Amino acid sequence: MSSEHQQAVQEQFTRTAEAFAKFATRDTPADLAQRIEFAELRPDDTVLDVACGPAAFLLAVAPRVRFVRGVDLTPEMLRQARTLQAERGITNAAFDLGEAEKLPYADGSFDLVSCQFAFHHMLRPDAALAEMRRVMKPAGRLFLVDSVGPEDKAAAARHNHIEQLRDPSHTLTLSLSGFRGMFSARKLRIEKQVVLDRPRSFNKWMLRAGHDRSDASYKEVRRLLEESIADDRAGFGVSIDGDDLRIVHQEGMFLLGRGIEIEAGQ
Amino acid sequence: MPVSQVLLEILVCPVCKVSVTPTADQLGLKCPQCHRVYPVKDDIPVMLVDEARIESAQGT
Repeated sequence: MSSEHQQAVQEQFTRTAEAFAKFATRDTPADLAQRIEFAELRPDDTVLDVACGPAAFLLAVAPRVRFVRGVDLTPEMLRQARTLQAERGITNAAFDLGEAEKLPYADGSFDLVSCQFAFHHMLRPDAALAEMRRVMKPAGRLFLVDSVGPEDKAAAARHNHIEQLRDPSHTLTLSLSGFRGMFSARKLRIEKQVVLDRPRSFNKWMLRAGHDRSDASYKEVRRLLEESIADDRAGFGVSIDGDDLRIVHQEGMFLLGRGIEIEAGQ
Repeated sequence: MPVSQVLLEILVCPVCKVSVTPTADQLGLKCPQCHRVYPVKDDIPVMLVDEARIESAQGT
């Protein structure tokens, strides 16, 4: 990761840490429960969450596993994670400041490595994936969750432009074939894959990134989304909802193991 | 406060991937290979290359 991009990520997530915790609607109890079930946790597991943020996922899984560890680039996020940890009296969790592309852990350290909603902030997601595979135990699993973007190139460009206007630390939302190609190149086998529709309020989505109705980014993003309604040209499935917009993100959940991906039909 | 031994076990230098060891003052974690010292702030190891300082081999 370049220092410049690293700084953009740190600035975005320091500025929005409070809004992030408050409006992190991704982390509703139902969403968390769904992810926990998908990840197939085992009581003996040692779990690493890469780009753990305020650690909503890790602290929810801590009571079910042996130990959880979180690594994030932004000190403010880890400060919040530790506050939440203390509030809940969780003792089997620890946090480190570090980069996804240069993980500070020995090879084969974790049973489950998780990374959620972080690939779209990375300049080199492939390098981060290689690091996650490295710190997995030989029989370990990799649990990834992220937005999935349009396959069509023009739609993908519009989609990512809108994401970047909202959040300057956004790099690229990968398409499903983009994710699958990256897994295959890193010899990671897909054991389970689900792609879900995540409808959300545009206003809350903007607030979580620190934008309210009065600012220029809000207006520009809203204009672009409204323009895209007729032919869904930016892949957000936009519809009008009173004075708000309803937008839909595609969310991919993947459980991966080491191995060579065998293409369908073989 | 020093980082506990259990937590240290799997911690490595993000550049060399070699185990780091606490400095004498317990305020840092040192890589024996590249001699980077990573600070520990509020009990959290700061394993960022940009935040590390390089010490001589004879240092702590």
